[in-house]
Amino acid sequence: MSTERDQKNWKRIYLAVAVYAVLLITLLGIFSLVFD
Amino acid sequence: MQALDWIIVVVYLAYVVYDGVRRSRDTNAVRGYFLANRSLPWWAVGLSIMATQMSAITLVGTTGQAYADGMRFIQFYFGLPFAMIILCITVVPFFHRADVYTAYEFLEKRFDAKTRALTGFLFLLSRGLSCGVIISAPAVILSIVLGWNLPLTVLAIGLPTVFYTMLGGVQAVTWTDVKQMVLIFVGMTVVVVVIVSQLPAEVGFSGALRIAGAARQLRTIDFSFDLNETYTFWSGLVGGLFLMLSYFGCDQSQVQRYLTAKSIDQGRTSLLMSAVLKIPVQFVILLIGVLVFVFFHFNSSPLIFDPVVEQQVRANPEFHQLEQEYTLTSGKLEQASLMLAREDSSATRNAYRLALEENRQVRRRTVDYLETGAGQAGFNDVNYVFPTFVVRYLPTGIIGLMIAAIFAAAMSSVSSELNALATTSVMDFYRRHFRKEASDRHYLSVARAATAFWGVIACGVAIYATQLGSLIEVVNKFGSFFYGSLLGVFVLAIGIRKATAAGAFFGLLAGMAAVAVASVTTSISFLWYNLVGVATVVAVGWSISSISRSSAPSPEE
Repeated sequence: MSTERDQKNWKRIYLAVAVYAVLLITLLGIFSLVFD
Repeated sequence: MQALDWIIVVVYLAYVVYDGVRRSRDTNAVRGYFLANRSLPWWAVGLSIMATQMSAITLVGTTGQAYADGMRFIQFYFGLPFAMIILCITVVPFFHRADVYTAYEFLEKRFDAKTRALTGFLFLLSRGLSCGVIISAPAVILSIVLGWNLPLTVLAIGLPTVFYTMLGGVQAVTWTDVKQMVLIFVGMTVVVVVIVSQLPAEVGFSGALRIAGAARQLRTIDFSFDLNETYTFWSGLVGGLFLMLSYFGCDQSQVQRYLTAKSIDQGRTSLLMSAVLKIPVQFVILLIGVLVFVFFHFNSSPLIFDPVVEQQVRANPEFHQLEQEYTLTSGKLEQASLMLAREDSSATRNAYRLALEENRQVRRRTVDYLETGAGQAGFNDVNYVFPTFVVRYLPTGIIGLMIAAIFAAAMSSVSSELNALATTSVMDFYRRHFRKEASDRHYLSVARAATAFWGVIACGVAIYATQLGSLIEVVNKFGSFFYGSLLGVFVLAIGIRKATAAGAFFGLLAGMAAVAVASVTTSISFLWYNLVGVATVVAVGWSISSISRSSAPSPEE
């Protein structure tokens, strides 16, 4: 069974991936604005 | 194709069979054959997940789509990272702790045998036939572009895949997926480098982006809220989220990938690998399509990319006239593109856009002529753009590499499908209903026979796919009816403690009916079908559960 510490780590990882995805989509938006 | 290209393709096929077959040494029991004894590292599982999702039609079709329509297809994947996070939190730990072979086995533990049988049957029906489509789509294109014999092309893709999947089971599938994914990455990188190196010196990569931008091919985000449009920010984020939840969370061909991971954490990490890499990888694939678009500004492109149709209409004077106009407007487009690459100003942009519009008008008139005057109703040559480019414009050796990469994309998807079909056939039906007690050796033999059976079905469907046109459409539609509704059943199983077996079973039927009605009475994009399916299953399932409230145990009990 995962410990409380593990769960906290996973929460941080999920948050990091979600932030990364938002940044990636934002970057794609900037990319199309720059070249459009 | 030159001798070197043939050697590369044959070496690839021989190596992938050898690599798959040598894994059969570790699969002398059912648990090893279907689950790799839960021993695989996250990176191998992660690459296998990506390879399974990326079929040849993704590689060939989306580059063609980017050529014709720009990069807005990328929005289709906006929901994927968030879907992966949700699955890591929900189904991955549930499936692992339940120690199941299939996603549908979990539904029996949670609900009843009836729900497991129905979901397993729907999976076998939809995936069993769609597996043939995964082979037939690239086989038809390659056979037309390269002049190969169609049944032989189908067998060149299908037979090696069936052979190594049958012998090596999930170990063979995963480790060949890893190599196939690496081959696809290498092929993509080489193609980008070759295209850019073949552009005029004053254009280069930045000039190509400038030209593509002026053509509005680099628009990646469309915020308009239109339920009928598939490629918008909202369709991709919300509709795509539910599609990806269904695909990665309920489709055995994907669930089986992360069931083979060493632990829950390794299973989670493998899914997060896709969450991180999928959008950048798809971006590069679409960028290749856009670069091909720019490449054809400086190299004469065929007026139409389907060589069979071109052959049929070539002698027609009307088509000949259109070809001459196309050559003329292409020359003007090349000049305008060079001016734009040298100097980015509103004057050069406007001149380029005018030349492009003139060129596109000739192409539109050609398509009109083909559809109305040449008996080619619904003409669409998007899928032929990339293979035609590969065969006619890439240097010897790179052609072989890219044909091998297209083979790899098809084979990696088909092998996972076959393995999942065999697992469901054996574990959810044969062992569950027909032969409950038998030796491991017996089940292993049946598993290999089931893989061969589904392989024969897939190759048969692929060979006759062109004659099964409307049936294939029905199969594809059926899959989309079933996906969201299946997700709804898992939402009931994991998220609603009081959900009962009757609620899940009738909820699933109601969900599929609701999606069928939505598809007939509305023109909403198929991405929203999943949301309709989930919402209906949960609403109907919850209502029936509230009424019937039988004694179904919750997953924690």
